[in-house]
Amino acid sequence: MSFFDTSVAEIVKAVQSGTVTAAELVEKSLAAIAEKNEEINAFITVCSDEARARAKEIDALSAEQKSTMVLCGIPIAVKDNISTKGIQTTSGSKILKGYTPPYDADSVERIIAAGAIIVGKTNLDEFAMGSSNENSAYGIVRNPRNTNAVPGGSSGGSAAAVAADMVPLALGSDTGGSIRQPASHCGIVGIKPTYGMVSRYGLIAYASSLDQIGPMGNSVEDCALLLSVIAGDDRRDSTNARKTYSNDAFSSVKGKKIGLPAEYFGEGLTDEVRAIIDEKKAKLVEAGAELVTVHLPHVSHAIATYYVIATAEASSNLSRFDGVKFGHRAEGTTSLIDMYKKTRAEGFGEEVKKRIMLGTYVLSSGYYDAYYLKAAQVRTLITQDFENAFKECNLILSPVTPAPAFMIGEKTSDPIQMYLTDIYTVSANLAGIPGISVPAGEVNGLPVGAQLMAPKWGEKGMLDAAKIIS
Amino acid sequence: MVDVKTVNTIANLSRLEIADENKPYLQEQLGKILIYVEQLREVDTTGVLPTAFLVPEHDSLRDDIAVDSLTIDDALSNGPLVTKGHFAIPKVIG
Repeated sequence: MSFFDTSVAEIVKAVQSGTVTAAELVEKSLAAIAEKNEEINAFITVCSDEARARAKEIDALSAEQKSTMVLCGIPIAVKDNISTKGIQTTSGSKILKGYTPPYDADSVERIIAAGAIIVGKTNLDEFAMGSSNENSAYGIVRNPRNTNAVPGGSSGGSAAAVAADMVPLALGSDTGGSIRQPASHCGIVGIKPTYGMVSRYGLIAYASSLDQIGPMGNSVEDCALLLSVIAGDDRRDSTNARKTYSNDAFSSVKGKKIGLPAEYFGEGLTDEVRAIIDEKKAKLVEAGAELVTVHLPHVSHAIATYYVIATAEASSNLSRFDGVKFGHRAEGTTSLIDMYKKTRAEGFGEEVKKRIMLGTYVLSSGYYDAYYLKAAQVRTLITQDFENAFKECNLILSPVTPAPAFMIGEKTSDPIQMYLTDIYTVSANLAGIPGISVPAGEVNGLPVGAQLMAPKWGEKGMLDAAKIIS
Repeated sequence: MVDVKTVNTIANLSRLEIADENKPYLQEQLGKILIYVEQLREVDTTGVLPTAFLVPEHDSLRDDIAVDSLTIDDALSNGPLVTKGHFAIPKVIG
């Protein structure tokens, strides 16, 4: 199942040649949202008027103007932690209800310039903190493949919007697996680019040294096209690496070495997922690649490292939500400090409060060295593990999650069980390397993805192999 | 388990008001996570530099050219309480 049952590039060609109009595509998308969103809850905001107006503008362009737009007329969904000028951006939080950014994120400017049409803002775990989309102030998102199951998180709304055929493409963000894990759970493709490839300007920060915006779509080709649009130089993000991504033809994987980390295929991985990854190994071998076993000796500590670093950064980043500059402010307070405390108590959900407190604790006097500094050192070791592994292989193949999507409510009481669902994805964020999740099979009717990871700036080779296994 | 005094201290530093009935839940949840992250102590990090930057290959300075910024009206447009071109806050000095 996919939007118009064809690739985004083909739909773009149809718009450019005039065989289909942007207005028709927008109506198709809005009709699907109207039919399915009440149950799935993938969108927090649907911007029908803006999308229709933009479609009219695009349809009025000359053939020559349209020919330069690589996403001409494509309806797209944007995760609601990515700023959109004049369109409510909540980050899934009550504290930002009604907030309308006065500027667009860099990636939003780029997709608009490329001719894409934003039809709405997608649901997420509040401030991207979660792995199931059960932490949103705007309600849980349901997995379109089984509405009793979670869609994964935190980009659960973007994944569900694509999987339910409401849009052919979406933007997500990935801090510890938040694009790849929901892509896997919903049966779509999702890419976390190399840290620094896509500008974070306009992304509401959760953990700045881990966050990356990335594409989500029905196929590797569609995601490669969107990546080529959003990657690039932006001086408004001081961590942007001035790299571009060129959407060239796919190459063969003949002679490429595919690393299989021994630590990822041990205890904790379900037999069903293991069997699905085994099939993908065989496909790569068939295409001429060679399999090698590699070792990542410190990745067993990746989740612990992540929860120290991410929460420390979050405690600092979320201090901007203070009831002064934007969003919610508590009523009837007695002093400035009282206003801060009541505003934040009313505006933040439980998981966000917990992570802010944990981050504050690990950064506080007397604990900084034992927790934060230690985690930053282990992060270096995890990064070195990948650098060493990539001396022996070109790419790494692994599961995305140990098991398919779990049922709504199944893991909400035990924080560690929930956090462990990101065990195969967080390391790429810690090391700053790219990763992709590709649909690989099904267990009991629920999709399961396979993950490929590459050295920094190795997106091209990663997508070549992803194309083989997809 | 984190004691209630620690929860109060962190809540204050985090500028969060926590109702008394929610404190046992936070004590338990934060305790569970802190016990889990204790595993980092097992890792020998002698002489290992902490990761501070992920993109060290370039300088991040843009050219020194004046560019437009948000207007004052745009910057104030989302303020919950705005008076005379400023964000307004509860009185600080009596």
